[in-house]
Amino acid sequence: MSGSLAAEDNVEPNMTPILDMVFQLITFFMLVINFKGAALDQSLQLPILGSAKPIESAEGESLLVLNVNPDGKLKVDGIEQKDPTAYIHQEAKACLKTAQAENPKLSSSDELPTIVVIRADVNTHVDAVNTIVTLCQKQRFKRFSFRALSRKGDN
Amino acid sequence: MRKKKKSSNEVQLNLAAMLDMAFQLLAFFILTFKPAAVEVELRMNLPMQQGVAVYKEEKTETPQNSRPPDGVVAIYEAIPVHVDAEGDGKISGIKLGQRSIVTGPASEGSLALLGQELGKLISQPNAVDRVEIVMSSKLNYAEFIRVMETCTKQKLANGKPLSNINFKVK
Repeated sequence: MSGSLAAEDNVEPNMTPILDMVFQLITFFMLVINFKGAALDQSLQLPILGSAKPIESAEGESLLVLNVNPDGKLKVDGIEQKDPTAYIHQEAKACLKTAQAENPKLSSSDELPTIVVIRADVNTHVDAVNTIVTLCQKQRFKRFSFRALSRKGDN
Repeated sequence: MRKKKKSSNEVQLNLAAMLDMAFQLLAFFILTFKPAAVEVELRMNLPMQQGVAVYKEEKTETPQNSRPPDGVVAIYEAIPVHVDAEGDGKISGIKLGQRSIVTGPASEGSLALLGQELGKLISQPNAVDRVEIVMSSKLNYAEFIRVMETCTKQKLANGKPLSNINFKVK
């Protein structure tokens, strides 16, 4: 009698709700993970601006993210570019190819629709930023976005 | 008899292994989760400059395109803003045309004054709508972006924000 009772008391918890909840949490983290964030050099200390506009990127708008460290060196995807001129030239060619796929009328002498995102450290000299901007302008980039952080405490 | 057979064939999935894997995935995402700080931007159109000359010192205007009798606006093709910096990269002085607006480190108030004076110049009818910022190479990015923000906040006579801004480093 007692043996039979023990067998009947063999309780198995219902794992289904906890599994559901865990999968929902995993889904949440997978959705909020930002793969584009890899292009943003988090070691840079961006300046803080009070009233600049939040980033507004239209769908399909292409961006070229350029990080300029305090030494004035260009870093892209965590890799320091030894020859910024060659790198920007290469990127301009790639951007033109992409833009021509969408707009076949675009000629190689037209301005590129890609937005150049400049992320520089607070201590980077403006001379280094100007060098990068000038290199981009020579490759027919015209649209620039200078990045900063929103006022302290907003994030 | 048939009923009894059916209940003994009931398959029970062992969810423990799946739960283990799900928890491992969850732990990975929690540990690698790092929300990025909220970034803002100053978006500008900066085409390649055609000429080096910033403004005309001499009065060469014809009566047809004469502008209001304002000292600075009347003679400049672009309103020049000169930003000087100290060795630490901070602003040490700002001139609007030949007029000194800020001397010493630039506070929020002094940049507001620059904005006010610049706003007065560009908001006049027929005033030039172009600003040329000439910066010291020692200036740092934080101060550069503060000056740019001050300029982009100003509005033209037609109510549109000032967008025709060029900068160069001396």
